[in-house]
Order: sequence, then C-alpha cells, then structure tokens
Amino acid sequence: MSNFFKYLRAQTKRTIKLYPAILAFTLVLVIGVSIILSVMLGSRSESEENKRIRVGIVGDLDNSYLDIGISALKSMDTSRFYIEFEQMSEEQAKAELKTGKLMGYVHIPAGFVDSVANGGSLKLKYIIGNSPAVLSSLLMQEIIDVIGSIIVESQCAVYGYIDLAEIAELEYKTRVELANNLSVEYIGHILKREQWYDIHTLGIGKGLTFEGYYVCAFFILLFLLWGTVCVNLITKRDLSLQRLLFSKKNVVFGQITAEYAPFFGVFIANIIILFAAAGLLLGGKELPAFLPDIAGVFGFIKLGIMLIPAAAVISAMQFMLYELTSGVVSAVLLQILSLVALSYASGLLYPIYSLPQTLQAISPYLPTGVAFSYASRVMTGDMNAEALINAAVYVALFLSVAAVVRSIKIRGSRI
Amino acid sequence: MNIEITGVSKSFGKKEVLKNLSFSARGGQFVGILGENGSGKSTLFSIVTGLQKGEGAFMYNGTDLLHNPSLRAKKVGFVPQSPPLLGELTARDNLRLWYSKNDMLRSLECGFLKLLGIDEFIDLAVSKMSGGMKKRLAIGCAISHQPEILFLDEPCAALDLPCKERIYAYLREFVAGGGIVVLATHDIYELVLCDDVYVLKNGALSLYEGSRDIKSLVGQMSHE
Repeated sequence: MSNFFKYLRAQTKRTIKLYPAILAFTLVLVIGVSIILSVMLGSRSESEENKRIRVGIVGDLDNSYLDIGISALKSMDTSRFYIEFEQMSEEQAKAELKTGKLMGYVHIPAGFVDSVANGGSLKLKYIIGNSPAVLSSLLMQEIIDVIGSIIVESQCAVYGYIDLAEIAELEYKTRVELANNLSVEYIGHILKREQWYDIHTLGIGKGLTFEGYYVCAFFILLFLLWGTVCVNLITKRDLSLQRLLFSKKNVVFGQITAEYAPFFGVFIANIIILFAAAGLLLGGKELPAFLPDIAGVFGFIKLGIMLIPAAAVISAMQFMLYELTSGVVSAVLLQILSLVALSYASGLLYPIYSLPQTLQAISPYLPTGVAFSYASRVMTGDMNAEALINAAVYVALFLSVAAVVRSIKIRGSRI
Repeated sequence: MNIEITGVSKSFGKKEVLKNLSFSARGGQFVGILGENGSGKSTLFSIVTGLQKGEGAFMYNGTDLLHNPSLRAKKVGFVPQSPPLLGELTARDNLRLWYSKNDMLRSLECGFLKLLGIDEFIDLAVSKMSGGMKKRLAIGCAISHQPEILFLDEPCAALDLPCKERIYAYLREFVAGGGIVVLATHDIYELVLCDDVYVLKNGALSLYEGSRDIKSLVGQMSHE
C-alpha cells in the first residue's frame, strides 16, 4: 500500500476514535445555536404581530358620512390589524406626536364634506413628527395624499350624480336612496381592495426571506463551530512524524490531503446525522415556507448533502488556519477570532444590507460569503455550476496554502 | 560497509550553527555525538537524514545519499528526539504506517520488534504508554525497512535504567549484525556503548580521544 494510503488510513482511524467526543460537543453546539435562532425569529415575528401604528383623526367630524367612514375603517377594513385610528382633539394629537405615541394624525378641515359635495378644493392633511425622513412617515404621507385624492374625487362624482338626479327632478326619496346606494357601493369597493392586487415578497437578500436568510447563516455558523471543536484532531505538538514521512517520500500535499480528508469527513458525518435527526423530528409536519420543498428523512438528508460544498469551503479554510498555528491555545484563539470577524463581515450575524458598503462589496469574496452564497442557492433552488466551481476553487486554494506552510515548516524550521 | 559524512554546514540567518562537520563509521560500529543542549546535534541529524537542506555529503559505499533520496530512504533509519507517533492509535496502528501487515507480524513474532519487546504492548494506545514504550515503538517504526544505518537523537532521554538497558540491548544486537548506529546524546552514560565519540561544540565536530570519565567529558562539552 502506498505511503499516502497508509497515512490516510492512520488519520481516518484517529478521527473515528475522536469522533464520539466531537459529536457530543457538536450536539451541544447545535442545540445552543438552535435555541438562539428560534428565539431571534420568534421575537421578531411576535414584535411584528403586536406592533400597530397609531394614527390620530382630528378636526370636523360632525358628519354622518365621516362617522360611517371612520367606523368602517376601525371595524371592517383590513388596516385595523396594523393601524389604529383614534379620534382625538388636535391638542392631544400634538402632545402624543411629540412623545412618539402617535405616528401622525389626519386633520379633517372644517366643511370638508360640504366642500367635497360641492366640488370644492379642501384637502385632508397628514401631520407627522420632527423626522420627516422616517420611511414609514413618508409612506403615510403619500398614502394620505392618494387616499385623499381618491376619496375626494370619488365623492365628488357621487355628489355630482346626486345633483344630476335633482336636475332631472327625481323625487327626494329616490335621490336619498340613490345617494345611499352609491355610497355603500363605493365603500364596498374600498373594503374589497385587496382583491385588486397581490404582493410577492422577494426577500431580504439573494432571494431569501428573513427566516431563510438566518437559517442559511445558522448552517454556516454551525460549520465554523464544528471546525473549532476539532482542535484536538488537527493541531500537532510538533511535526516529527510529518518530517519523517516527508523523508520517506510522503510528499507534503499527500500529507495535507490525508489529514484533511478525515477532518472533512467529520463535517459530512455531522451533516448527515443532524439532518437525519431533523427529518425524523420534522419529516411528517408542515414545513415553514422558507425551507425548500423537502419530504421525509431522506428529503432532509438530501438537503444536507447539497450543503456539503459549503461545508468544504469552511473546513478547508479552518484546516489552513490550523496549519498556520502550533499548539491548542493559539489554534483555538485564531479560529474564534476568524469566526467572529468573518461571521460579521459576511452578514451572518446581521443582514448584509445593514453593513457598510465596503463590507457589502467584499463579503461575496470571503470564504464565509462564498459558503453562504452557495447555501442560499441551495435554499432557493437556484443552484448552478458556477457556485460549485467557486467552492472547489476556494477549497483547492486553502489546501494549497496549507501545503506551502507545511513545506516551509518541514524544510525551513530549526530543529 | 562504510559511511563518510563530510563538509556538513548549516546557517540560520547570520548564525552559523554547523561548520564543515565531518565524521566516518564502518559496519558494526557505534558512534556517539556528544554535545550540550542547542549545540546542533539534532540539526546535524536532520540534514544527513534528509529532513532539512544543508551543505555537505553523506557517502555510503561511494554514493552520496544526500543527493539520492531513494537509496537514503532504504538504507537510513532515523529516530527523532520526539517520538513520531499518533497518540490516539495503538502500537499496532502506528507500526502499520511503516510496515506491511505480514512484515509487522513476522517481526513481532521473531524479529526486531520482538527483541524491542513491542509485542508486549502491541494493542496499547500510545497515549497510555510510558516514555520507554514510546521510545521502543519509535525505534520499531524507524527500522521497518531494515536500514543499515540508524541515527538516534537522544533515544534514552528521561528513561529509567531498565528501559535504557532494553534499548541498548537492541542497539548492540543491531550493531552486531553489521549495522552502524550514530547516537546523539548529552547523556554521558550512553557513551559507554560507543566505539568512537565526537564532541560537537561551537559548531565544530572533533573526535574525542581522551578518557571516558565524567569529569573529562564534561570539560570537553562545556563552552570555554
């Protein structure tokens, strides 16, 4: 058997002996990170559900039609789930606006309804706080403008039609019935406006939803943590064995490959075990929309296998980092510092669009960025050969650097 | 069989560690290299065994082994100061890095591995072995290809006398079979085994021809 295969067998046996401890530590990490992820996602959706915008309604409200309209808004319109309209005096509205309890308030000028009925030009006003640049306030202003135009113009049309009925000398009773029917018909259309449009969410990055983004980040963070756990497998007290192997024509790249292969095998084994466990737990249940369409244990395992190239990029990078250090303490320190820095710079801790432009520009080229990009393609089903080639190039690069470092250490160091 | 090591030199930066060293040995001879810690013994051995680049020649029956890695790999065995073993594996698994299965079994039954007593702890993990066991196992790994020349870098450092005696017994056997042993040590007691003793001091190697008593040898070693 060639020297390479002998060394590969020896390293594989070592890995198998150390794997139970690695797996135990991995499970602790997975549970810990899963708890953090579920708390993050849970608290976000909870805060969104509980959060309603408060908008005040101020001004001339002595009109039955206005009353009907505001009551319809509060009780029948879908906006009641996220906007709370409250009638109040202007003094109260100003006070609550200053304290931030109100997003803004709508001012209905005196004689607004009569103005509309007679084709006048009175407008609704929307008053906001001191930060006009806040996006939600700007949007509300636009919405009020549009709604105001639609309401005014539509109501002008209704009243114009009533005037026409009067000119045509229709009976009073008939004119009142006409006015009511037209107004009710109009309100009915407004309340059913959701049937006129459909909203598609493109997601917050790479076509992923918020939840999908953080699940991808979760995978990459796990891979980074797994590599750190393998410190005892990879770090070497000295290179006496590797030097001796080198003198017996066991070339450096062969040594690197024989050591990396079992290390990478740890990642593959972890992925298969964890995804199989996830499949057993979630296989029969309805899955969240941000997950790809997978079914059963084998579906989960297949998803895990598709993530293996992303794991390869991370494991190769960590192998290279281990080669740069000697000793457990320095190895762990370097791994942790790299984990924190790369996680931040690649948008694993915060969405990428919230990072400075410089980081957003370099993130796709970082190893964690490449791995994340690959994982996101797996999640969105948008896999292509380019992503796979990118991953392979990074793996080859890191292993080559590790081989160069090993060669320098073997040949150049003082014994 | 004869070996002649000539002109071995090595510098690290501006510091010249080895200055044109030369020594020779013939088959059946035990050579000792004596020197203080940091004198360059390990560096000398790493150069002649091909682990490091350096100047010089290592002539074996007329062939320069420094420029013939294949022949060097066959003829030379090296036991470094730090045993080159994988701690999680057993002695058997470590030996399998260097031996074929049949050769290992044969040697365990009636060969040098049996002589070293490795059969007594063949299935023990290296992490659970004593220092003496690890050294014996390291020697067992180094002789897998039945070399004719064995370089040992402080093979008995930190071992008790019974352990040392076991290793010395094997080395005597090796030399008696016509092999050459070159031993680097700063343990004066090991020099009792040696036919020739060289002293490495200030980067230079010189044959010691004086008395083998402790006082004389310490005087030779110390920097003056």
